[in-house]
Amino acid sequence: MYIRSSSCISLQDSFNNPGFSSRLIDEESIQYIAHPNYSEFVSIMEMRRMSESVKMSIACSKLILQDLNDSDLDGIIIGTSMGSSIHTKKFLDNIIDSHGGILSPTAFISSTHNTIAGQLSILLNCNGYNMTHTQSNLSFEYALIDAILMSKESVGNYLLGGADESENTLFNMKARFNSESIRSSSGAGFFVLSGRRENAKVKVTNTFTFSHSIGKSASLVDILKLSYITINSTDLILLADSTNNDLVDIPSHQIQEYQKYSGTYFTNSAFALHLAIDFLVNNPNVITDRIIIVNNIISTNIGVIIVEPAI
Amino acid sequence: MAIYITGIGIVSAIGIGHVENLSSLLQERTGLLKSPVHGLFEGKVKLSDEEIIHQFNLEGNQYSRTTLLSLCAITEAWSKNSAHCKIKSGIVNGTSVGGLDKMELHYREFKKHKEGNYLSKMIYDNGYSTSLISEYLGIYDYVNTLSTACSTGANAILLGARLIENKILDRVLVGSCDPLTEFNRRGFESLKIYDPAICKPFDKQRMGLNLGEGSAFLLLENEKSLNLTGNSPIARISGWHNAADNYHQTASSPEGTGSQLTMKGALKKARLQANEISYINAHGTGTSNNDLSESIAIDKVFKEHTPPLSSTKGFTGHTLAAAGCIEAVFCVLSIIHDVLFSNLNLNEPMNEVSQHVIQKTVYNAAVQHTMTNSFGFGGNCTSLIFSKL
Repeated sequence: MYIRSSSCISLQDSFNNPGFSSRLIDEESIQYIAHPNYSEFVSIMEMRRMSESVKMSIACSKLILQDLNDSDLDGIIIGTSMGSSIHTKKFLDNIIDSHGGILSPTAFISSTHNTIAGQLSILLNCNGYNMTHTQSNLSFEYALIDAILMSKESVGNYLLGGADESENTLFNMKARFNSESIRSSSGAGFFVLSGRRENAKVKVTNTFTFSHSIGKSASLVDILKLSYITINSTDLILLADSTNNDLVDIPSHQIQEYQKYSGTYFTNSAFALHLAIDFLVNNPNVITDRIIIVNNIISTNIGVIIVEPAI
Repeated sequence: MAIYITGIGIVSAIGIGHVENLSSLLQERTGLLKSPVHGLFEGKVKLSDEEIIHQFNLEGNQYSRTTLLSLCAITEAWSKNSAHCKIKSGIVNGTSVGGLDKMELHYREFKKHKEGNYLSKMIYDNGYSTSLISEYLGIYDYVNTLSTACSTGANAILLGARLIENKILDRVLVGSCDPLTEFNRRGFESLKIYDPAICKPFDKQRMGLNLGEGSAFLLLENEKSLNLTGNSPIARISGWHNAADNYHQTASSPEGTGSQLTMKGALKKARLQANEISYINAHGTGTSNNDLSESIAIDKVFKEHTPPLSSTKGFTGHTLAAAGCIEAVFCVLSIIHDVLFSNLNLNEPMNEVSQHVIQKTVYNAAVQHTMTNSFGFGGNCTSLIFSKL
């Protein structure tokens, strides 16, 4: 599956900034997400009703769809773990603070998980396949698997995205993992996928998920073997959490933890994919034939995405 | 490739299990009751959280009602099946509420007292419920959750069918669930589409929906799985299609663009002509907008071949994410028993569908193929076709 273009909003200065992967900064030193100027992509009026994840998704999508006609987009597939949590909290606040009576529907209207996918279909004038996956840390991976399936069934261009906003009152990564050292964050990563190579510089050659019972430990090498993947000495492994799984069989110089650049949120593998693409295409310091992204935020629920140059 | 249905499970306002649900449908017995708390009609599942926790020996932990209702339905559908090393098995679940039913209670408590470690009690994201269920059944090959508002359930079935067709899985439990929440009730009230009385789908005097809760699951298998499990198929899924209406976040386009695309797409997928559909279980929420838009779309797709149709939301209420699967199970029951279910609470049927809407249960209906529609916020539309073996 070829990736024609990609975009990303994150703690890093990743939006519309080829080569950002050679200027990565540890999240500890960054306070805020590097948001673009959204008024370039959305009117001020529309922006007022949009939550963080919708704004990020629209900016990312519009950036990479510039060279595509409306009619060339065949589907929109999104992965989001918490969906519109900011508007969910807003509407809950309205309910609790109002003590009865009819409320304003604005926050409720955009509180469903598929608000991103729905808003994009209207903005991009796309009647095609429209799906939203929400399986914790595998939301983006399952969206990608769905996009690959769609492409097999019907040749075309598919918009794939992974996005989550940080709403720390209803749902908080620190509480979820009972750890104060986790940096809860947010972001969006978007990609135009096609079964046809055309000018694409990278391709996804494999993607799979691996879930098993809580209490069983898993060596990364064994997990990859289950999908017939052997790690080569030239592979770069981009890992979410380097403390989470048994990595003993892999040379440490081949492993890089991406979560210290993105912060922790369940769809940060979309950031990892954009980072991997930048490594392969825009970073002469990184010499590798293959990048294996391992999303092991939850050690019993692992997502793997393998990306290579398109040649 | 034939995709067989070999198990169904359901809990709704009209029954626990498919036998009770069928009985209520045939006897035209609604599950909608006026709430003594807020005065609106809603469809509750007549099982408390405590009863379900006790039934499944889950004492000692906290669960969202989403997980609990799902467990009831999925275990009925899974029945005596078990994990098998040669059968790739998965779960495609769907929910819009997820852990929100408990979240809204804990958050309210927190705001009242401004203290307490409420975050540790928050039951998390939508996928968490599905993970718990997969752990309970021991199914790990593919465990995923979708969330597309009111079309979620239909999409879970659609995705499961595609996973089998593309040989990713041999056997998959597809289903969805949503419990009642204050969040959703207040939400639909704020949109002024919650009927203050009992809902009346396809009636000229309809004033909106009534909410319901529930869960339904279907077990889908390919032939390879069937040969190994020895399960007896009860029906097939033969067609499906998803599309975006591309019009408005909460209203359907006047012509029902998205619904036309999905009904036509499902027919094409099933390789059927419009005149081969025996029954349509409509989305039919009882809102002014949906019922008109859906009627127009049905007329444009089926024209003079419009089959008998009904909305069963007068029985169950609108169960949001669960609707697509609950109504799919009803379609399967229609096929197995050759019955057509009635559309409750009709006094003055809309002109657009008055010739076709079923006003009384029909027996001995020779049901070959049934279609079900589900349309959700964000303009997400899905149609499914089920067929006799």
